[in-house]
Order: sequence, then C-alpha cells, then structure tokens
Amino acid sequence: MGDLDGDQRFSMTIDKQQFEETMQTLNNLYAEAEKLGSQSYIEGCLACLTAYTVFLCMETHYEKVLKKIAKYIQEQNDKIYAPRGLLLTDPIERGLRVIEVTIFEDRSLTR
Amino acid sequence: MKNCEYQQIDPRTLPTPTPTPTPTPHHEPDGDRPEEPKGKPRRKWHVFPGKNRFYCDGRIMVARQSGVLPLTLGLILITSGLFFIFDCPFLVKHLTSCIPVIGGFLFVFVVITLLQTSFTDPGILPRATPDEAADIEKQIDNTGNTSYRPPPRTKEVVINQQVVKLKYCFTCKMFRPPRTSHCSLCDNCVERFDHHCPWVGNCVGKRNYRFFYTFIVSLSFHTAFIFGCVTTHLALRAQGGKGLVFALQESPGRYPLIMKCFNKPLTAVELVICFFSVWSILGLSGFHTYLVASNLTTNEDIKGSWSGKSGEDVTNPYSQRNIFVNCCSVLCGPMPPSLIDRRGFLPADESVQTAGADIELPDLANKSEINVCTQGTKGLLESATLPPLLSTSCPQGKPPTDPTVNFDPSPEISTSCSGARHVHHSRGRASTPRHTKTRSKKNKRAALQMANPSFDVPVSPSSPDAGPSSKARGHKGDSFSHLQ
Repeated sequence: MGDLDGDQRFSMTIDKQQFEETMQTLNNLYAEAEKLGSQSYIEGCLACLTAYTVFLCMETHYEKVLKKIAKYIQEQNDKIYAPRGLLLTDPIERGLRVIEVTIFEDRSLTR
Repeated sequence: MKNCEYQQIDPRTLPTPTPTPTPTPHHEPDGDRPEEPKGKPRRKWHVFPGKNRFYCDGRIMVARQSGVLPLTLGLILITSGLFFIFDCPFLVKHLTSCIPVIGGFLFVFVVITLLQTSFTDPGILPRATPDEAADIEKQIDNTGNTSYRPPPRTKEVVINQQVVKLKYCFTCKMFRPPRTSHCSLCDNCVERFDHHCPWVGNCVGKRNYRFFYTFIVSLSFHTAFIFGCVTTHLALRAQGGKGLVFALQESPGRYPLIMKCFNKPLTAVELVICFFSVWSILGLSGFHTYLVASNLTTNEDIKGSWSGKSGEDVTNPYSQRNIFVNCCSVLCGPMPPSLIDRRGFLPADESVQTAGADIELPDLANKSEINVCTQGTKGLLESATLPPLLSTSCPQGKPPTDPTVNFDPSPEISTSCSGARHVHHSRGRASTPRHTKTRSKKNKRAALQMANPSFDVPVSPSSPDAGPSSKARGHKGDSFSHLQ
C-alpha cells in the first residue's frame, strides 16, 4: 500500500516518550493489580473459608485497581491524546490483550 | 475453493459491511445488530459467540454441553440426603452430635463450590474485534505473500528466560496469550486453560480453578466422612447384633415401616457410591494438589510442555520454585475479573465520532467487493489447516528475543501487534510494554467477514502441536523483522 498505514501515522502523531510513559504507568498499575502480596493472600484465604461467597459482596483488589486504570486512561485521553486526535481504548475492553489506539482523521483528506 | 489467491484485507478499502445474521464478536463497538433498533437494549450475552448458555440475564453461565452436572449434583444430594436421614440419627444417639454438623458444613461447602465452578466464567477471552483481526492479518502477511498457504502463525515470547510459543487462534482471531487454550466444546479461548470438566459442565480455567480445587478437596473430605460414618454405623450395629449381614438386615424399631423396607439397600447404596467416589476423588485431588504445587495446568501436564521430553532444557517458567508460594499464587492469588462483560449493554447501532469525517454506511453496490474479500479470506483460513510452510530463515531452537515483547528502552512504537500480557510474568523479567494496535479510522470496519464462523477452524485443546517451526511475524519498516 502506497499511503501511510496506521502505525506510521501514529508514530508521527505522538511523542514516543510520552507514549512510553503512559504504557509504563499502565504496566505498573496492572502489576499492582496482580501482585501477590499479603493483601491478596488475606483476601484469598478469607474467600476460601467462606466458600468464595465474599466475592459476591466485596469488590476485589483487582477490580479496585482496574477502576484506577480506567480513570487514568480517561485522564490521559483528555489531557494528552485527544488534543492530538488519538484515543486510547481501555485494554479491559479488549480482553486485556491489546491497547487500541484510534487515530481520528479527516476523511476528506484521504482517498 | 473459489479463489485461491489470498487477498490481504485492507481495512481502509473495505466499506462497512452489512451485518450478517451469523454471530459476530459481541465486542463490536459500533454494534452490528440493526434488527432490534427499538425496544429494550440487549445485553452482550445475547450475542456471545461461544457455545455457552446464560441464565438470570447473564449472571450465570454454563457450557452448552452441561455434561453430567445434573448427575454430579444428584449423586451428591442423594448420598448426603441418605446420610442425614439414615445414618445421622443413629450416630448422634451412639456417638456425638457433631456428626451432622460436620456433615452439614461439608455438604454446604461442596455444593457451593460446585455451583461456583459450574457457573463462573472460567476466564474466557473475548474474541478479537474485526479491526484487530485485520490488523494482525496485515502484519502476518506483510511480505505480500500471495500464495494461499500462509506462513504458520506462531509468535515466540520469552518468559522467565524460557521461550514460549504463542499460537494463533483461528476462531478467536488472535494470538493466544500464554497458557491460554481454545476449548472446542465451548468454542472459547480460556485463560490458563486446565481442562473441560464434564462433571461440572464447564471449562476449568484461571478464574474458577480455585473453586474447582476447593470443590474436589472438600468433596473428597465429604465422601470420606460419609464413608467413615456409614462404616461406623454398620460396625456399631454389627457389634450389637450378630454380624455385619445382620446389621444390614436389621433396623431399629423406631423407624417407620416404610423406612425399614428401604433401609437395608439404601445403606448399601451409600456405601458403594462412597467407596468408588472416595478413591477416584481422592486420586483427582492428589493429582491437582501436585499441579497446584508445581503451578502446572492439566493441559500442560498432559502435553508435557515443561517436562523437557523434547530434549531441550525446558522448565516451567510460571513456577515460583517454592511449593508454598506456588499454592498461594494459584489458590489465593488475586481474582481477575471476567473479561467478557456479559451483562453490558450492546451499544446502539450508530456511527462513531470522527474529526470532520463523514461516515457512509455501505450500499449494496459494494457487495461484490465484500464477496471477493470474503472468498480471499476463506481461502486463507481454509488453507491454514494445511501443513505450515517453512518460509523463514529463523532456525528453530534459537531463542529469538523478540524486542517487541521484551522490554526495550526504545521500542518501536509503530509495532502494532497484540502481545503477550506482561503482567503474569513481570515478576521474572522486565516489564513488557503493552503493544499498541493502531487503526486508521474507527468508523471503518475491517473484515467483518473474518468473524464469520464458517471460516473458523477451531483448535481443540488436546490437539498436538502443529509443529510450527517458523515465526510468522513480519512488520514493514521494522528493524527486527524476522520473516523474509
């Protein structure tokens, strides 16, 4: 294909370091969600003793961190990416596998 | 095959395709179900593409083939019921009243964990959106390979200094994260796939493995307890009478007549069920305890992924080398949320925002183009079942430390492929930057045809490795492109 593909367009639009910083923060947040620490052990043991019925009433640590991540992505979108015509999709909506970056452009300018 | 030449799908040349009646990935952001524009909004579980059944408006899910779950429940209920009716009164009188308390507690525990195992999402991964699928297709075949035999679709990542191959799932249109496998019975990719258990009627995966383990352990205690109590009951009766046969025949006078008639064979039934259950369930519990202690899945154990039988020096990269830590991480680790959002509402069928661009819905004039692309894709996916073509110069055995996966201070932002989730493995290695996927226009719909299930080639979890011996990634403009 002769014209630029999405990747090239993306790398031209955003500052590499800025994006790296966003990614690194996200990675750290996910690491915090999945961290094996005393809190997760206590939560796990308590859940086991109650036959896991606590999961029906309590919000888990993971879910709390996911909310934090959603807020962070929203904030990053508002502050950094939307002014450049980009939009980050929360990875949770893609099965925590990819982060989707949408590039908005004026269709009248392209083929 | 109508069209033998593989035609690469370019998301920008495709018009937004007309919605097909076949199931499509339910995460389609713009909605592709125009047949219910009015009325109450539908939830996502209505359009879930896997073979699952949903109850209580999406709160409860089971596999479509519920297997023998009713039988399991029935056996547990009947045996426990018989125990409480026939054995407990005698034992309370002759031994202690703790017996029904313990029995009751175990019974409740067993039933709750069984129901949780059956009704919980095991860790199903939502299928890739058509945009993402087209993007991956584009990357894999970026060399302009026009033969209808695509290169084998694998990707290699390094986890804790161990090379792990990620396979491409043709049904879900994505590279499976590590330890993920596609269950052909449920037609879903399940994270940390252990096995599909017919007894609980569901897959056992990352999210419900702890329920499953607790279920089988508590069930082994429960059956052993009942077995012990029944044996004690018969022994005590035999002591008071003329032997075991007499004990089986006799019944105390305070039982009503109807129960006297049924008492003898029912106690024997209890004994038989418990005897056979105890050994099998205990064996299964022991096996799973071994798996938990070494942080393995049944799938990996059966395939021998980490046993080093292929001659290479392979070790389990997920194990923490400490039994206690392994147990804690598997059973008491954080509970990941369900990724499939079954109770979310489908978005209304509308066009999305673009900066100054106008969106055009497809007209029928474009249908021929869609068909051509469809056939091209069909050819691609059908031919993917053929033996893979060796088309790379990358020799097997060399651990290609793919810089896009390992943390690299200067990652190519322009890479846009879905990569392994880093979070599982960040303990052992540096963090992986999340891979970015770029797509040119949100309103363009790439290759909705690719989600057509008639093209799908589901991979069963027990299928042996297809033996892909080449990396199938290539990326235009990258310095680390391996596929030549």
